Amino acid sequence: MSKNHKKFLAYLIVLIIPFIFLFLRPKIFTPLKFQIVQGTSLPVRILLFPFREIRKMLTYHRTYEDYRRLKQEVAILTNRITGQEELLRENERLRDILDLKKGVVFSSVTANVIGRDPSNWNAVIIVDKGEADGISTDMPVVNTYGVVGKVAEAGPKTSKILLLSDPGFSVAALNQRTREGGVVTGTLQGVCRLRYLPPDSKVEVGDLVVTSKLSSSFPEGLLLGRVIKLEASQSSPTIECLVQPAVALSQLEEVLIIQK
Amino acid sequence: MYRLTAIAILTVVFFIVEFVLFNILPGWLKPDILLIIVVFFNLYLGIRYSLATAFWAGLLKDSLSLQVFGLNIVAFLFCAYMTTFVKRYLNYIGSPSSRILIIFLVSVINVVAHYLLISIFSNVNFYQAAIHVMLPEIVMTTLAAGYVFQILRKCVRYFHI
Repeated sequence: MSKNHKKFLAYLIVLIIPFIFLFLRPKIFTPLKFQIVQGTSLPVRILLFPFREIRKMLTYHRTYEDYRRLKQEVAILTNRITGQEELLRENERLRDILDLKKGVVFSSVTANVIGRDPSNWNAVIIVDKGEADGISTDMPVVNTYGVVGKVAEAGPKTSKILLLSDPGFSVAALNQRTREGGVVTGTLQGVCRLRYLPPDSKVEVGDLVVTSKLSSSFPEGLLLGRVIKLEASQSSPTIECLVQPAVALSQLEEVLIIQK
Repeated sequence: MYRLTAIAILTVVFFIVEFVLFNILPGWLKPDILLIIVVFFNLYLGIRYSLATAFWAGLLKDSLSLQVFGLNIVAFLFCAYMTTFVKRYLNYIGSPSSRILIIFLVSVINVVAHYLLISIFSNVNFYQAAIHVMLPEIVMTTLAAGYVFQILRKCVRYFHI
């Protein structure tokens, strides 16, 4: 075998070995992946700090308006809760009488966003909480506005969150107004798609879409987004809608991971 | 060995820069800086160093990604090979436009390779991918190439790579 042939063969092997690894999907690389994430997260956070602070200053007015609105909402809700306490107690008593299973109580962990995955093919964020904080895969991730995504990979101290707008994301959902169910999936466009609505669906632009109780990992009633466009499905006799996520996914800084 | 270490450090630095840029720049403005590095080292140091860069850059990108592990490594390695092929016909020493043309072609190859590899494991809508991922990435990578090449050239001289 000539020297050129040997060289060619060596180069070919260099390409083929990683290609084979793609299909084997070995788990031995998982600790290495999270070590790299851990190693790069500190310089990234330091470099991003001034940019985030500037953004905070630039959005000061909007934040102040939000603060005022939320303060008013809190006052209204506090009054409503006070009024409903009696009803809750009554409800509890009746539940006890009927011996029904009590509702699931959720606890949550607040996590800071380290950064986004630098790939145009994915919508993934990395957060600073991991298995050590009780995080595991498939846990729902939310913020004050609605659903953010779900935990896709949990490392010892960091986790990767698959955002609502990623093509790999899907969750059982329903139209809050009409109660028609479907599945919300992500797209590469940055918006979501509500699929499998019946052809005679009464869905309209502006309707709110929330998580359904059919979802195995998300609690019922979490806001996913708002319908912005209706389309007939090209593959099945159903209606599809484009849904604008309720959360500004490009401006996330803190998220809440719900632990069951 | 010094060269490989210097290339590895430079790749990590540019990876962090890319990571930061992705977090501060909006929508379309996202160049693939690591691909530019792979092409740069191919043009300046040859295929062997380009392959090492491709492997290291792919490993870094795969670590942060949720895609199948190794997808970026394979795509970058393939791009390193294709750069060697493309430069035979297009690389004119001292011509910046020929380098930009090479970057343009290699970034087209990169997004197509990426699309094909992702399609093996999941369903990707080609129209959406073309409009929202491939086109922005090709345009931005080509536009950023000239500036990144200048910085890389300075780094190579400064560190005697």
